[in-house]
Amino acid sequence: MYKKAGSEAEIRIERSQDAREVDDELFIRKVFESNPQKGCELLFRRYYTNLCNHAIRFVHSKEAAEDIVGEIFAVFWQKKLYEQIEISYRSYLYKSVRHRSYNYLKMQVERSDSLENAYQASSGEQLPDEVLHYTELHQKVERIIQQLPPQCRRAYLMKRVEGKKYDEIAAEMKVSNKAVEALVSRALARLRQGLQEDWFLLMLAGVLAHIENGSAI
Amino acid sequence: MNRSIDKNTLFEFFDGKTTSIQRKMIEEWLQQPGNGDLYYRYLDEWESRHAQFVPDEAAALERYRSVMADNREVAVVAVAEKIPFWRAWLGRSFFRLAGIAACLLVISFRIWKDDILYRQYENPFGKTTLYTLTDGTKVVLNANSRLRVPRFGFDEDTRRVSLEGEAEFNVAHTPGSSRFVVEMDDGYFIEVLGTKFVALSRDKSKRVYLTEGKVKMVLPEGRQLYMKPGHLFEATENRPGTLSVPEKPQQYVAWKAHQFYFDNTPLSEVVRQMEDRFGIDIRILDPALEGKSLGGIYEAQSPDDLLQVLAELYHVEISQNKNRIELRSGSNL
Repeated sequence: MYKKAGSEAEIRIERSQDAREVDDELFIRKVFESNPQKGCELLFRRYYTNLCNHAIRFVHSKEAAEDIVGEIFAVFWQKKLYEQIEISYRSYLYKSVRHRSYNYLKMQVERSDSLENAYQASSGEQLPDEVLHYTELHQKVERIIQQLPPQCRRAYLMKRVEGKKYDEIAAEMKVSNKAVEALVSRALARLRQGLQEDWFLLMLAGVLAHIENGSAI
Repeated sequence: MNRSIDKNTLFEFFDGKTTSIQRKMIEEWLQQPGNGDLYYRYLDEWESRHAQFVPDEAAALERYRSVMADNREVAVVAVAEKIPFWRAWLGRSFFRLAGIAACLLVISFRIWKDDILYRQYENPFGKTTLYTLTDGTKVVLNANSRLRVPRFGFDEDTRRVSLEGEAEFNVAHTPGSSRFVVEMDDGYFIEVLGTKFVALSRDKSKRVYLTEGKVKMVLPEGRQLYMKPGHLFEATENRPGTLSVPEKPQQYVAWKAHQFYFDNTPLSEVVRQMEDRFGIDIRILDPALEGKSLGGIYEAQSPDDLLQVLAELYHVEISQNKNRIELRSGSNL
């Protein structure tokens, strides 16, 4: 049923942006009013796959992507966020995915477990510029990976995206375990280098630190 | 420059094909109310058309259902995990909301404040648990004790936790040499760099026993004391804090091994310690018993273990009256 609502909404978007209030978001919100559990389920089915696909652009790991999205939904239910979020649920979910993925990526890049910059999407407004940066960030990640030497990229993708073990990759690529490790860590080093120099990370780190201080009351 | 941005432009942006001038336009477009939501709607649509993998949605939905079927409480796990990001979401809105929105948020924040800002470790009666904090610090929490650890900022320059009850801390040294501070009620603080100590803060009594390293005690009056290994700090409501070097320090760490350490300890104190650890109500009904004292190390996982010892040593008659355990002198005394 919600699928139908979805396709109707799409047609409306095609026709005119003015009809933006009317889409499946509204339908799902209605369900939440009477049955939050059903609402969560509906929301999950509607967005899970797309959100995982968005997350993987940043984190390059199917497992991590699914974990990130799964946790966001769990929290959405456990903390009854649906009662409080004033922006659309869709916006909230995408923002959360982006923030969490960003943190995950940052952790990978910095090779550090410190989560001082851990934070989460809010119902507050994001700066427009920041909204765009997230898109540009995953594009940059993609570019860096594309530019890796073929062997290096292959090993990295097998390890990260497919979650294969070093010896599996070694067998497939007909090289030693050590060589695979070296290839993967070279890929990570490139990623680190490419992103760390990036003003984006620096800027965000600054913003985050600011938020942290602001909220640590 | 207020031209409306259409879906194609955004799709091209998601594809990474827009020029910097177009990007500027999108940025301006985003500033108009409602367009933020629209941005994510188009992003969602774009994702639908650019799928990279197909997650096992059915299995994930099953997991989600079981999450929802569980109660809403988030279980505290024995080994501390990384701070879940989602807990911080309110913290962020804190930053930018203004006016009424902020007020509403502040109210909800107030209600949930503790839950959002702190992770709480709590041990019921009769249970001691080892927790590892995100900075590597190991904490053995005694029964009937609570430890609160901030969810954010914990790894920054000062690691600050608060303790109610008793715990042994084995504080990890961090690369940045950040301080570790244990807050106890009534204005007592322990400041350390990397060290091992046992702290107790129950009712009005405070006790800190240092096994390794160096700590600074900050007392309510602002007085500061530096402790060395083997030093014991004790304070009660009526007695200001004093430092001493106990001859038999075992009693301060015995609880970790589910033990009680008594050294000529009056029975009334034995009973009080049992009440603290096991959350039971024990009454000594016979004045003759009050004067008795007990020595030695006793292992007790449950109150019965120790009560049995008492029964044998002192011919105590133990009876249960509703929720209260009553001790009387045995008939042959």
